[in-house]
Amino acid sequence: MRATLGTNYRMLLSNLDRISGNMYQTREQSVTGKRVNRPSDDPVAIRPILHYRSQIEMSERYRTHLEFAGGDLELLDSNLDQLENIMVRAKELGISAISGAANDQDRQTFADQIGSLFEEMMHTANAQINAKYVFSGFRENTAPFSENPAYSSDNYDASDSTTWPVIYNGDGNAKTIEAGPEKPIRIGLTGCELFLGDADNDQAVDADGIDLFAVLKNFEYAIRGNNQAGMNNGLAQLETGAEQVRRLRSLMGNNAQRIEMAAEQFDEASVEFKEILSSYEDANILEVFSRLDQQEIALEAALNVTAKVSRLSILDFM
Amino acid sequence: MSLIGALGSGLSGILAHQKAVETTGNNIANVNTPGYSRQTVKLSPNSAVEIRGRLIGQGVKVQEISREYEGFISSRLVSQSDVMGREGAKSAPLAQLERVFGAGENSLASDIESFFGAWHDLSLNPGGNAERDRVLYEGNNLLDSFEQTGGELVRIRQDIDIDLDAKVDEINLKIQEIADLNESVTSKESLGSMASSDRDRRDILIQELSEMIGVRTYPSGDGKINVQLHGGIPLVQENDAMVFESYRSGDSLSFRVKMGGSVVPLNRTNFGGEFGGSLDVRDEFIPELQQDLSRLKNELITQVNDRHEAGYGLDGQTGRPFFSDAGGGVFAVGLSSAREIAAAEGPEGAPGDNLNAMNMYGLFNAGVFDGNETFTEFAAKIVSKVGIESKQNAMALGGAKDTFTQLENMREAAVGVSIEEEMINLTMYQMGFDACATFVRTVDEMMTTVLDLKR
Repeated sequence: MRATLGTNYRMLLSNLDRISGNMYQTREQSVTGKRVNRPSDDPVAIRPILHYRSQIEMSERYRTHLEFAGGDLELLDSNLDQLENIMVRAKELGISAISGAANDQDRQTFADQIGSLFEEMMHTANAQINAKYVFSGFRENTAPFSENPAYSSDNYDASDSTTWPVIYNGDGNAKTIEAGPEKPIRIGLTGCELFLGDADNDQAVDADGIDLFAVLKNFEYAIRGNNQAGMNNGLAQLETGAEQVRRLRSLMGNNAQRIEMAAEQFDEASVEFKEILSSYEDANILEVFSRLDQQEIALEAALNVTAKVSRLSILDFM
Repeated sequence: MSLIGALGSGLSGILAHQKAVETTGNNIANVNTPGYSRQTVKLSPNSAVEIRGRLIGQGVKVQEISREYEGFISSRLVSQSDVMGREGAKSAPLAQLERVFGAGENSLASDIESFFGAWHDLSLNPGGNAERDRVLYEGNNLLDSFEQTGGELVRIRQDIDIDLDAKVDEINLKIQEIADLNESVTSKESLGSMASSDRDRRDILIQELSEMIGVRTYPSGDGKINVQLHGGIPLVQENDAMVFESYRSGDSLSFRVKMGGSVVPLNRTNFGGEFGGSLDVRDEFIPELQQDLSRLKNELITQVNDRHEAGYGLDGQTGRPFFSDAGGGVFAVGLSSAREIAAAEGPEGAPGDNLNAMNMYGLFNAGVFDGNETFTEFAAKIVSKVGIESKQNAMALGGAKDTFTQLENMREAAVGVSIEEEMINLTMYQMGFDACATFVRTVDEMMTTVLDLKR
């Protein structure tokens, strides 16, 4: 083949173009640290990159949510602790009242103390976290419990809420969040199930539930009236009530544990996703630098040859 | 043979070599002229004259100055220009599209993620004002993002139109010049000389024209070349140049060819070269993206609205769409206040009711498209489509350029000017010239000697 001036320079130019084009790409990779700087750099990697990027976002959001929920559950637990204490103290008072050693005056004192425990329970039941009522279900801006002026201990009927000592103003929905996609988990208790034993909020105490307020009130009346049968019954009911609180508390405790585990899982997943994302997206810096070295050498060689070509001319020999 | 006759031979040699040196000089002068074909002087002996039974040579003549020509490579160059022009014209709009559908952290997919992320956050605190405001903000942001991406696509199509429109005049100039050269070549060559520079110029013009709009050529006798678009629509018919025109039809630019009284409208398949590439992007690839984009947007709006309409706002109202048509297909967040966001599932719209917000967030992971693709996956598919197209283009362009360079080198090798060769020819012709001159001087001296005999 005849190699003319044009052929030579065209060849040199197209090679210089290619080498400097490659160098541009390598430099871009080393500066950005990324292998994929635009979709065409690796079209196959685009979908995984966008997918894992959104998975990372999602994991981190879930983790934040779960941490918040964990915090809320701790506060809830301290409320439940208070409630349990109230129940224990009421039982102690009840035992003292029921013992033969107590006289009428003692019983009045005990009854008064139970009355103040009632107030304390009322206070706990209307507790707020972050200006939101804890036990009102979804109606978090509404104070869940108010005293029922129509209550009298004589016509108390567990299946008729108008006769209860306390009216529930919340609803029967316990707060639920997701501990992962499609993995709902309860992080709240409704006032009706915890205090009134009416989990379905149908305004009638469930068969396996008990109204703590009514228990205290009725117990108080029984003590005041020295009603031995009422007091015995009250004591048993107190035990049932305490059991209701403990059961729900341990449910929440379990959920808190699940939430903690889920948060850890998301933490790990997020790290894992980041690694996978990096394997798709990030440049191997060592490899990039050595490639850059190689290309610099190639460019130098090409420039050298170019310079030599222009120095070598038949005209010098004529 | 007489001495006078010998002088004639010497003179013919001097003249022939002078012509040869001139031709070499012309070759050297055109060493960097694109499309120039090397010319060579063909010398042949003058026919001998019979004098007294002997054939006596009568010196040399320049039989022709021929132009080296490699028909196969030339026609390959024309078709390769077509391919190269096509791929080359695609790369600029595709680079723009890659910018619009970036792989970076500000993509459509990440805006969709943020929108549903806001609903997810809302489900944690459904009564919170900050969370509600963020849902509104992200909703508007997402629509903006769709609007902006759609707008960019329209703008890229318009840019292509502007670019193409600007080339129409240049194309007509080339068509006209090719027709003129057809005429000129025929008239010059009818006088017996080769119209080398006209042919070179015409070859280059055809090649350039092919790079712009993709043409086919065929010779039509008398050294003329006819030029056609794909599909056989003529641009140059012997000495006649057709008029290539652009006109607006609808919101985009169309093209037609006027020949004589008739007008032939052109479609995308009639074009190769830069026009073909640009029109492929404008009329095929971008509309495909627009379709994908509007499918994504419509599906998202429909699904979000469906779920939103099923839920209840803080005011206990239901049936309100989240996005609503603000007229002319432009959507906006249709809620007048953050309180209207339907985070609740219960008719009461209780502030703690997060069930509908969770439902809404569930959409993020739902296989909405063809039963298995989520919104972000569909968005990622669009981006990856752009990436694949652009990568294919880059590879095809690289290949086309390499092939073109290779063909140009082959052309150079066959018909190009090599300085070494020309310098050696120059030396050779110069020596021939010197020798002829010396011969004439010798004959002259001989004649002087003869004339001196009388003295």
